[in-house]
Amino acid sequence: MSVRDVLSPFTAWKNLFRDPVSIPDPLNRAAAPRYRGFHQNDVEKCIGCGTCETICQNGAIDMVPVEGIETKSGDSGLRPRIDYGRCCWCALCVDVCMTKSLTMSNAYTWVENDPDLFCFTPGVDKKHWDNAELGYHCPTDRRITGQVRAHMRELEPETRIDSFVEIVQGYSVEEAILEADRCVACGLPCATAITSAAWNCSTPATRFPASAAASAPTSARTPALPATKATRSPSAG
Amino acid sequence: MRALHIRLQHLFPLGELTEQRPDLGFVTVPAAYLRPTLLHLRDREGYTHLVLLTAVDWLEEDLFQLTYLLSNRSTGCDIGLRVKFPRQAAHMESIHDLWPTAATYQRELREMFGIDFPGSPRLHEEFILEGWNDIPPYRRDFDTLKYARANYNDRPGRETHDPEQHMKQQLYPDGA
Amino acid sequence: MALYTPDRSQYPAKKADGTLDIDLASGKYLKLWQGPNHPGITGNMSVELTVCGDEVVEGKTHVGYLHRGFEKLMERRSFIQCFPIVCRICVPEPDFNEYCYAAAVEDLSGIQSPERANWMRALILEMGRINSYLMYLGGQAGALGLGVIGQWTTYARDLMLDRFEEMTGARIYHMFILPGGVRDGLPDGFDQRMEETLREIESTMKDVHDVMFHNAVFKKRTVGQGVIDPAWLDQYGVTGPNARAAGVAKDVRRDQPYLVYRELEFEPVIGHDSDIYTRSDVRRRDLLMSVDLIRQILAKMPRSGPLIADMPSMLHWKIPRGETYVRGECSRGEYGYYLVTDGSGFPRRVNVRGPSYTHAMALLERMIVNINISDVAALMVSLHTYPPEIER
Ligand code: SF4
Ligand code: SF4
Repeated sequence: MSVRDVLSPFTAWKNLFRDPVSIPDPLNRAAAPRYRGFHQNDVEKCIGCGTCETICQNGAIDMVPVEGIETKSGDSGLRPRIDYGRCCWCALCVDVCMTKSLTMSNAYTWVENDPDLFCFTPGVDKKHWDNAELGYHCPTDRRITGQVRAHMRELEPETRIDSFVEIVQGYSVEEAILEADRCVACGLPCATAITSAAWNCSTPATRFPASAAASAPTSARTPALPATKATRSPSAG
Repeated sequence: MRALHIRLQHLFPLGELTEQRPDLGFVTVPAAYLRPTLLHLRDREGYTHLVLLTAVDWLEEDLFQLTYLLSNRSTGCDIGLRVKFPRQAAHMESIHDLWPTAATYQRELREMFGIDFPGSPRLHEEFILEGWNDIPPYRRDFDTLKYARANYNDRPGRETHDPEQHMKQQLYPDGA
Repeated sequence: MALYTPDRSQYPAKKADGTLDIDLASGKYLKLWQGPNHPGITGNMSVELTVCGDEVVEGKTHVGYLHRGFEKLMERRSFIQCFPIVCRICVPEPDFNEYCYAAAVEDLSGIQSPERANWMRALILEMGRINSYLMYLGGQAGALGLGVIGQWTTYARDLMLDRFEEMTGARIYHMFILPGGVRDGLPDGFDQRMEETLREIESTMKDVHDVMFHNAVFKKRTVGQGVIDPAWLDQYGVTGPNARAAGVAKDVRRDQPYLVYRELEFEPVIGHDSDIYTRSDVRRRDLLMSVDLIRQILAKMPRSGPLIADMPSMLHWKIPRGETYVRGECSRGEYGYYLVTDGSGFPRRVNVRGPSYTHAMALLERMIVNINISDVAALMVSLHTYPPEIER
């Protein structure tokens, strides 16, 4: 044992002459600009598609009717209500939101006596962070659902000009599957009679099950049957 | 990996090699040849590190699969040995004498999958689940959701609406 | 340097099956539970000790206090839905779960994460390693009564949490490494703030070195204590600093380089005495190496380019049948995910191989025999175990 080993620990006393490193005002410490804090929802933009509910692996989101929001073509009239007893702030719902209406502020303090108030509908129940600028927003160049429409081939103008051949060429089977892959199976268009008669959007890939299976092992972009609502909130366990 | 597989095939009746990456392969071994294969790999081929031992439940095929993953540090290669046996005859030879740490894995597998490893130390001591009264929970036929519904309460006041159904109801109340 | 000479005449005899014949009624032995809320227990784990006088004759690790069945829960979640829950398998260093899960999914689906994302991943993993070591140093010192070290390292860790917060949007569960890439790039001015943080950590580590490692009491209680015999490494699956302190340079970053470790300059830190002191010292030096690695990463990483690969729609993403194992070197050793898929949209089986699984169970139970009760806390902390990865 050296003398150094005996004396060296006493250097800890030098901290007596140091300024404290703790945060002087912890109550008003702003979170980082991309902090995943409390949710905000632009209820005008939201179409009530329920995709956020589908993806939430904690089963934290319910789709509820909201007073003053009418059900109309392209809008189910429902809005997501989040149970903060379950939410883990993973922001998958923000990433998946079709309309980019759902975002997160960087607010992280909220005190309430009644635990039931933590089940709230962002954008409808007014909160102090509703107008917060900062917070997590899904970067525009990242998608977790395919959002770029597969290009549909058309005839060249030179050919079109002197022929009666169909101009729009349609999709090949692969392209059709790719296109169907983008469907989030929200059911909104299917609920309205006209579209539902013309095209049932929740089943296109099932028309080509064989090719879907055949291309599965080779392609990274594995085409798949659209998710059914049965996969929703499997999480109570 | 391929060369190793060929060497092993001369000695043991092994299945095809599934080469997942150049440094990782999986191969199926008949249950009776597991111990000699493990010993050979450990003592002759330098696969001295037992990375993990775990089970997969192939309920549809009525099979359990045990995966013994071994690693050779000097070559940086891993090989996974798969052993499959029927779910009804869920027992396997214990390898705690080859790697003492395997006893822990086997204890967990007995509890979570109900696979028996006769002779493994402290096999029947509870590992994680105390007072468990259902079938082994990691088996595929154990339904977590059902168990949770039966044993825990959901928060009251939660109800959701399916957008499609809700829309139909709102727009076409008489089911047009 | 053992601090006492046990009286071997009192030892329990061995039964035929190798277990000890402990007759509690004889009054010679006493059962003592250390944990699950003993401060010397890293997390929610407990050790059931049978003591004879001051000496431990048998120790059994009990886990299960925070079993949440992640592996089972993941079987009911789609591949993207698993991503936010894996981080919970290790609280102080959650990023390895995210990385290993993402890498396993990418391996099975044939997706390549972009170059820039790999650098971001390496950066976040090294940051997490520093956090984990800082927490460990506080715990190791605390187990021997040096409470002040924990306060200093908590301060240093808090600075690193600030960097995590601005980079990933969360302090503890970062949920940043998506399958396919990462969520975002670096915020503006990050490098400079990171450099300040690293300097502060280095200066804290200097103080820690003076007060903890050059400390007569700490040395007296750790040098020569809790030795891991190098022959046990394979028997008990010992990896990481526990193995490196025994003179074996086991380090996945070097043995099977993943991400960008091929392009970084480092040499695995090793020690030779394999006792508690050496293990602490290996971790301290490894921490400083991570500081250096972060500097290298920030200097070399590309600042533009895609952050995530072109992914299929994750809502109905199916992965063909297959199985794989992916590993990384976390602060405690080899962390790995064994993932089996069956062609559906859900994992068939996920098995998390946490280093604590072997360290805290079989190895600890072996090492705890014959030591003094007062050294139990120091010994178990020195193995650096995190219980959630044992029980998952
Ligand atoms: S995903 Fe977006 S648009 Fe759809 S219901 Fe949720 S918040 Fe509204
Ligand atoms: S942040 Fe995650 S857990 Fe919370 S509501 Fe959204 S998807 Fe669910």
